[in-house]
Formats: sequence, C-alpha cells, structure tokens
Amino acid sequence: MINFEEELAKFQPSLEVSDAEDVIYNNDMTDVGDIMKQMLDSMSNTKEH
Amino acid sequence: MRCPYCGAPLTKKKYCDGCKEDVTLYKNALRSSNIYYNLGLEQARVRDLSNAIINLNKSLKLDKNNINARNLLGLCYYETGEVVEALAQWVISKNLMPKKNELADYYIEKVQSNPTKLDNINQAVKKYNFALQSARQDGEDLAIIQLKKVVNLNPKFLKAMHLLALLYIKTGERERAHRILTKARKIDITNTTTLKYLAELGYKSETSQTGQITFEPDKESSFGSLSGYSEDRPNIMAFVNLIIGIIIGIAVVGFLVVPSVKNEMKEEYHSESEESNDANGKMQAQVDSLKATNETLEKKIEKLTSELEAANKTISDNSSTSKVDYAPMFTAIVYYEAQDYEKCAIALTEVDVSSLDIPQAKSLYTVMSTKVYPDVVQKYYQDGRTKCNNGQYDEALAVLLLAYKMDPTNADVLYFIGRSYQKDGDNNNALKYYNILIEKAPGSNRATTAKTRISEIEKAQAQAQPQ
Repeated sequence: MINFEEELAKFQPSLEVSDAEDVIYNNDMTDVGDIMKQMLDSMSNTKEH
Repeated sequence: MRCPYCGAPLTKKKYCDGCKEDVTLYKNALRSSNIYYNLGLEQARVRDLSNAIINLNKSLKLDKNNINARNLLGLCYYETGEVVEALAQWVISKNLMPKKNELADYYIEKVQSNPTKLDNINQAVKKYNFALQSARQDGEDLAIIQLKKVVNLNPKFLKAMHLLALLYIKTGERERAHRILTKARKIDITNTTTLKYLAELGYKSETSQTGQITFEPDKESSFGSLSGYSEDRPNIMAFVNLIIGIIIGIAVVGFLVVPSVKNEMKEEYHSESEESNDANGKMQAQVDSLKATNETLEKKIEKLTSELEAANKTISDNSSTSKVDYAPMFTAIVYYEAQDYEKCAIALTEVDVSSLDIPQAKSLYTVMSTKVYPDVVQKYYQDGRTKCNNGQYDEALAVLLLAYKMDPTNADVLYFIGRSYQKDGDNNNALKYYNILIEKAPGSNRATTAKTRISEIEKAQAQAQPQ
C-alpha cells in the first residue's frame, strides 16, 4: 500500500524553458579526468613543499 | 584522444609523449565511459529509459567529452518529457564539440524550428507545476484537470502521468490510473514509479521465464538510428559500400530523377504553351472586336460626312439664292435719316429693285425714292442743261444719266442726254435717247423737238456719205 503523501513529496517541480540557461551553467561537468588532474596537481604541489 | 594533463595527442603507449605522465587510468576511464554508453544505448533502444539515463550519466562522469553519450542522454530526457534537461545536454554537447556534431545540431534545430510545439511544452511544464502545488494543497480535482491538459499538450511528460495516476489512485479511479500508467509504461518500460503504481493497482509486471521484463522493441523509435561505440579498425568493406552507394545513387538519379525532371519540364512547357494559346485567342477576339468597332465608326463617319456635305450644299444654295446686296439700301437709309436726299438718291440708284426679296425692303425703297427722286431729278436736269449749253458735255451727261436712272420717263432729261451726245459728236447714242424719248413721251414738245434733231442727224449723215 503506497502512502500518498510520501509519494507526492517525491515529485519535484519541473524546469521551464526559461530555466534552461541556469541548468546549463550549473551542470556539474566534472569527470574522472578532471579529478585525476586535480589529484596530480595536488601531489606535485605537495612534493614542492 | 588527448592527454588530460598537457593536451597532447595520446598514442597507444601507457604514458603521454608530451608530459610523460602515466595515462593508463585515464584511458581506462574513457573505455569504461564507452562501455556505459553502449549499455545505455542498448537500454534506450528497448525503451528502458530510466536505466539508460542512469548509465549515460555514469558514462559522462567518466568522460564528460563523450559526445555520443551526452546526445543520447538528451534524447532520453526528451523522450520522458524533460525537454529543458534535454536541451541543456544538447547545448553542452554543441559547446564541447562545435564542429562535426551533426546530431546535436539536428536535435536543437528540430526543437527550435517549431516554436508552437516548444511553447506547448513550456505551457505543459507550467501547468504541471501548478497542478503539483494544487495537489499538495488538497486540490486534487483541480490538479487532475490541469494534469489532463498537461498530458494532452505533452503526451510524453512522464512525471505528469505519474502524478495524474497517483491522484486517480487516491480518488479511487483505478481504471483511469491503469490506463495512464499503461501509456507511461510504453514510454519507459522499467520506470520504477510506473511499476510501483501498477503493482498498487494489482497489475503484475509481465516478466519472462528468466525473470526479465518482456518488451516489444520499437524499431521506429528515436533510438533506432543511433549506433554503438566501437574501436577504430581499418575496414575495407566501408570503402566497398561507399562505391556501391555511389553507383546506386547515380542509377537512381538516372532512372528516377532525370525522367521525373524531364516530365516536369514537359508539363511546364505544355502548360506554358496552353497559356500562350489562351492569350493568343483572347488577343484575336480583341482584334476582331476592335475591327468591328472600327467598321461601325467608319460607317458613322461616312454618314456624317454625307450629312455635312448635304448641309453645306443647302447652305450654299441658300446663300446663292439670297445674293441681294443690301449695302446700297442701308447707305440710302443712312443718308435719308441724315436728310441728305441727293446722296440718298444716288445710293438708291445702286439698288437692284427686282432683286429685293423682302416686301418691307421694296416698300422702304418706294417710300424713299418717291420722296427724294423728284427734287434730285429736277436739280440734275437743270444742272445738266446748263452744262450742256456751256459745252461741258461729259459733266452734263454724268448728272443727266443719273437723273435718267432715277426717272427713266422724264422727257427733259432724255432730250438733253440726246442733245449732249449729239453736240459731242456721238450721234448713235443721241439717236438712241431721242428714240427712247419719242417712245416714252410721244405727245410731248420734247418728242417733237427730238424728231427734228433726228432729221438733222440723218441729213448730216446722208451728206457725209460719199456720192
């Protein structure tokens, strides 16, 4: 038996076309390559110190 | 494929030739990204969109530059009614790979080329948000009405269908809920929410003997044209296929397109020819009409010309019949009014009385002549006689002949005319006027004298004739 209130709470407002710009700018584009590069930079900085 | 550290092109080696860093992990990440993309593609092809979206997101976490995965993710979002999410993925894809990204170009152009549909989608989103708000405020009926409109505007809007089904379930309209969920399942066959609500309604998932959910692959779906990722390998068949394709293309052009174009040109020529014939026919009709009009006008001109000639002739005849010169008459009237009776009488001698065609003119002539002639004739007679006696025969004849015009029966005047001619040596004229005198006034003294003068003349002529 589903709980109506719980189910209703799962629904979120949908994005309108005018929100497309925000979606594009706020999109998390970080991938594994970026993480690896950050780690490498972090390691090299550590070595210098 | 480029080195994530320095951007140099990567080879098959485990390290970068540019920065000498180990790129094994990076290459593995890219390979895993492609594996997830292939998995997502397979799931999308069978409309397992929920799982496809999950795997495609994983693929992009491993390689954000996996353009195929990003474009496919956008398409999956679009298919579930999340148009804004879809557009975002395609715009990012286009931004990451501006050139040779035909798929993203195609999708973006497809959405933007139909502003009406995009507006409908946006309206659907707004109504969905409003319905969600209404549902949370216990306004289920209003929410259901709004959601029905939403589903009509965007039949692939999965979230709206789920919310509508949930509201139907709450209001006890289980059949309607089932119908809407069945539609939702055709869009995304393994969506957890759809399956959960169906289970709530007492409908079990249709599973095969192996426990997998069965489905009918939609060969004409949006995902049919997408291809999986594969490693680049030299393939001679591609070249052979290209050649065969070119040959088929040429054959199609030769056998289908060229005859079609020829037929179109023939039809166009025929239609133009018919139009030209029609135009010629119209022109000919106009020419005939103008010719007929011209003939009518020429006949009218002839008729009018003949009428004009007749009118001129009539005018000419009239003018010829009335050649009366009234000028001396008017002159006489002027002198008569001025009481210059001598000049009046002279003017009256110029009038041709027989030609006067107006009775009033004749009457006027008679009145004036009766009034002025006697005195003037008497005066001219006296003057003429004096001049004749003085040997001025020409001057005497000038006044006496005028007097004769005024009164042709005056015996004195006739006598002295004859006498002046006789004295001047003009016996012929002298005899003429003496004879007129004898004829006009036979019993007068002047007639007797005239006879004597005639005898003198005849005697003189007889003497003058040679023996």
